Amino acid sequence: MADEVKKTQVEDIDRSFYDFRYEVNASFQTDAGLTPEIVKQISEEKNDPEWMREFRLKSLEIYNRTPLPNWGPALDGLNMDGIVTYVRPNTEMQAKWADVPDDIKNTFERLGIPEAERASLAGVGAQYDSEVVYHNVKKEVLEQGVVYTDLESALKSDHAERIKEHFMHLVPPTDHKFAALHGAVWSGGSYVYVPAGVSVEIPLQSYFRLNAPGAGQFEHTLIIVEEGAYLHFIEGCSAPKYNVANLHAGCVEIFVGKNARVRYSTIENWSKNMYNLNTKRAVCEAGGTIEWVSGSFGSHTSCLYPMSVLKGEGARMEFTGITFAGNGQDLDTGAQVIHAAPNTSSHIVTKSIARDGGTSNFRSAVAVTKDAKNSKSAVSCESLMLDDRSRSDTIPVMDIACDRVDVGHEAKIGRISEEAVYYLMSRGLSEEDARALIVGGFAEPIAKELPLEYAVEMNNLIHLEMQGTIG
Amino acid sequence: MTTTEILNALPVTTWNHLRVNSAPKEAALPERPETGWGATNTAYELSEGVRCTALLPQECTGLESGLGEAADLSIHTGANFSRFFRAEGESSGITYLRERLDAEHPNAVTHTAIHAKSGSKSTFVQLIQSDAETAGISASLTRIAAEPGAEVTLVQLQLLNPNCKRYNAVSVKAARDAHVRIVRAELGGSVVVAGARALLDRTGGAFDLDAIYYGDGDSILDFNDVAVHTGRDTHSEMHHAGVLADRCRKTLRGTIDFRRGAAHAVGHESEDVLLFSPEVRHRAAPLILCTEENVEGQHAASAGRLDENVLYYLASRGLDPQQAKRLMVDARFAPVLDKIPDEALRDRTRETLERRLEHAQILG
Amino acid sequence: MSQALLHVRDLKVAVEEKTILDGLNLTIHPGEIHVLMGPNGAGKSTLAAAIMGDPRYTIQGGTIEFDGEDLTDKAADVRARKGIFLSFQAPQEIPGVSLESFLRTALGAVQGKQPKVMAFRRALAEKMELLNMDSAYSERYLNVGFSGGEKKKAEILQLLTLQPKLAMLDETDSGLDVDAVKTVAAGIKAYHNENNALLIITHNAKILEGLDVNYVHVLDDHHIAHTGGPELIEQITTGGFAGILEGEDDHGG
Repeated sequence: MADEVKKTQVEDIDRSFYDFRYEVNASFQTDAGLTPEIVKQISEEKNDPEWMREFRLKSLEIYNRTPLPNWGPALDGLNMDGIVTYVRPNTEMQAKWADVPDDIKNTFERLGIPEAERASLAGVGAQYDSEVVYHNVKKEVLEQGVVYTDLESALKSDHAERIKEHFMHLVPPTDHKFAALHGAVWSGGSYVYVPAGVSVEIPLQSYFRLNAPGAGQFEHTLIIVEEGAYLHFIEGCSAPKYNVANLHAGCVEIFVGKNARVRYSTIENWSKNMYNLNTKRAVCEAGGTIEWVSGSFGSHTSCLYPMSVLKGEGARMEFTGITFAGNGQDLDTGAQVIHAAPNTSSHIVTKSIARDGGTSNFRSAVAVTKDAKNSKSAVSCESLMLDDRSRSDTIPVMDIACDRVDVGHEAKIGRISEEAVYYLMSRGLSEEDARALIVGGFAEPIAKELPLEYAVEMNNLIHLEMQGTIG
Repeated sequence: MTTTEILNALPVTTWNHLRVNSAPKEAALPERPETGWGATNTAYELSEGVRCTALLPQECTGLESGLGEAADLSIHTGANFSRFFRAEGESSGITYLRERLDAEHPNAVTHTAIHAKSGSKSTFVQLIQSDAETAGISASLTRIAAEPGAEVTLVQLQLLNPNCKRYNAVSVKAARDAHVRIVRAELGGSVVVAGARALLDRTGGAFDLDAIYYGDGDSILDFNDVAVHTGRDTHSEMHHAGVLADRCRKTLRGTIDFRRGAAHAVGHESEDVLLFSPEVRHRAAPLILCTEENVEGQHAASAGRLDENVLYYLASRGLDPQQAKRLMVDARFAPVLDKIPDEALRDRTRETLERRLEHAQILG
Repeated sequence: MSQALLHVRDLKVAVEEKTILDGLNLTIHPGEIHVLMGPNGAGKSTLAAAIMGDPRYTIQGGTIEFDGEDLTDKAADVRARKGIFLSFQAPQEIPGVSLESFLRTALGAVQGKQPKVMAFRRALAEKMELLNMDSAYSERYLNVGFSGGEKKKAEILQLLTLQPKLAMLDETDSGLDVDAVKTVAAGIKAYHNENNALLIITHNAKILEGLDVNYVHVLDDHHIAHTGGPELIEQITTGGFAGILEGEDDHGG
């Protein structure tokens, strides 16, 4: 059309940074598909305690009788019979990078993990396919009584009883089909225990890398932070691209003690064949705070809505999220909160960007029970459409059963203002720089909540995205 | 005709446990009794420029209401009163459509179509009343098709007693530069299901919905209002204000759907609800769906009790707590009540509201 | 000397358990203009709020007597009907209620009977003219979308309409341009007579021009640390509070 405004031609993100892969060099892997035999095999391979073996088989039953969700993104491309649920890399868990096999070590080095560990982290765990291959924590942190290890080692330690009391209590296998799947085939992940009053000043980080094609990753992260303690936990994920669907159905459970505070930051950059159906949940006791910072850039399809249960009086949650969807991506993200005690508060701020035929949806649920007197909730979500081939839906729900509340919600959708582009160009910027600057500004409130290296990475992604895009 | 259970379906579904994907089962549209719905006590009064037509205007068909196609069909085929209008030319008068439910006429299942010819201006008032007791049913399907440049205003005042059930299906189609305004007051009934859906598929079409609701007792209120933008420069404004008391359960779905082609479209949506009891249930699902880049969509919602700071400010000017509450409830409804074009009706609506508020002991 | 209009004795006020005022005494007679100054955070607004009856402030001790009646435990609306008025720093926005209908309702509440519509409108129009307010504002929702200056003028319009016995102005001049300050000052002057009194909280001498200030109080250290005549205004605007507060430790006022 002649009168059509010149549209920004958006190219795919340069994902080559993540898109290297190594041959699968596994010591053991299950057949594709899911049967009680496979689940038993995984359990045996892991030397599970008896209760865990039963838990897995029970979860499988629930999985078999639970239908797929009848809402949200299409999951047609996900053929569960084709997913390999367990791939053991050819190594034991190491505490020194030097002991990690070369192909795996190179992977994490290219991702900059050892470097980040030296520079700014208190402890690092790294998972390759189904197992944790590296775990190390700074001595000072260990001396404070903090436990940070892979969940399976922890199950065989004196924390076994505590794990049994918490494991999948917050996200029961009955929650939804993929929670049941997780209960049946979970493998790897981290266990963090922060004793009362201990403040872990620098962050811990787990990095998840899925290398094997057609595989699933089902790590379980269990975090228990006792009264008055503080923890910042960072999670990063990526995978190379294959032509077959990969599945990530991890689970994160966070127990925030009285007056404790946990900040959980995620940067997800899975490749575009990944179905990212992750379940994250936190429960806060009185005066406790959970802060989620979430950046979703990768995957083919994502369903990710961390839930916070504000169980104790005065508990707080903050959610800051950005989702950036491009060609072929259907990213359905958001947050859920249940206010179940008086004087609780929640604050959700999100930004969604959709481009090049991608779908970037915001979905939320704010529930206020009748016990949550004098609670406050504020939700603010903004979407930016970069072209008319993309999609961005805003699907928030409020469910309020208490009158002494202050609940507010605002949503906005829009585009890059041509006037703003013109204004910046009149000050000497090129059109593409002007657009990149505006998109960066849109993302800025989220970027400033991210760990520095991720904020830099996000800005790079945005700039890459907007470069050479003027058609 | 059978019971229609799926009413007011959310255009894009979400978590089932939140119970917002469609109206609750208790709000299902009842089946027509074998003996039919019986006689109605209905009347209409034409203003100049508006005339009745014998046949359902073709232009009004093929549109869906917020309640959904199944409900539309059920009301259409089961109607015990139908009336079709055609508006031509500019008219400053009001066409009245009145119905009253009482012991002899407990059910009014009505089918109304309004075909507004190019450039016409018309105003319709639907007044839905009842006696004090009768547990009747008022189900109405109203279909509006506005031709290029036409302006149609439909004012719906529902003042039923608390035993009645009410179903209010509205479909709207606005052609180029046509403007359809709906003013909706749902102030009575034990079950209220209302849904207006507007299709803005031509350049410059506009749709306004100004709605107020009030619920007390054990009533169920369920709304599903949708503006579908497919034409350029289309504009929708949907604003809701409500007061909930006792154990009332209310769900409001409001959707602005920007589809490809709706360049420069603007849609605004808001809800402001006052809660007067710890047992009310307030659910809201304000959706913005978007597949067009060049649009402006906005939603704002707030819920809670009267703001203590506002009450203090009013107190500092001499208003006692009751006066302050009354002022704030009036303020909630005033912008909509002020749009009722007939002063006598406006006063009657206000009185009904005041009585119900006093009855629920919100205003003593 | 005539009977006191306001008599604050040994007042102790806290907000969220933090004591802001302690042992504060203040007496205002009809016809007087008092100016309240003091460093930021000293509690000037707290005093006005406590006299108005803001529920967020807890009175932990002392009494507030107005027109011979103890109002210490009375709600704000009772105090307003007795004749106390506060012009707020940040007036509330109330959508759905027009300025005119709000003023009529408030005047009805304060007078105990509804004012006559036509007479009320005429009087309102005059006052709005005095304040250089566009008459269209009377139809607009109260304070909604008003600029800072318009909000302050709307507060003074309420003052002129309600004719309270005691008007407290809490930094009514802040954020106003020179012309608006003049207009507001004219409004205050029009309000003041020998039967009513003013308590003006300000940093700005401009708003006091043309007013016969009787007393200037300096609030510091939880109470009125110094009281003087209008000459203090000049002293404080040029020299600050340091010189005045030096060596003050009595509970004057």
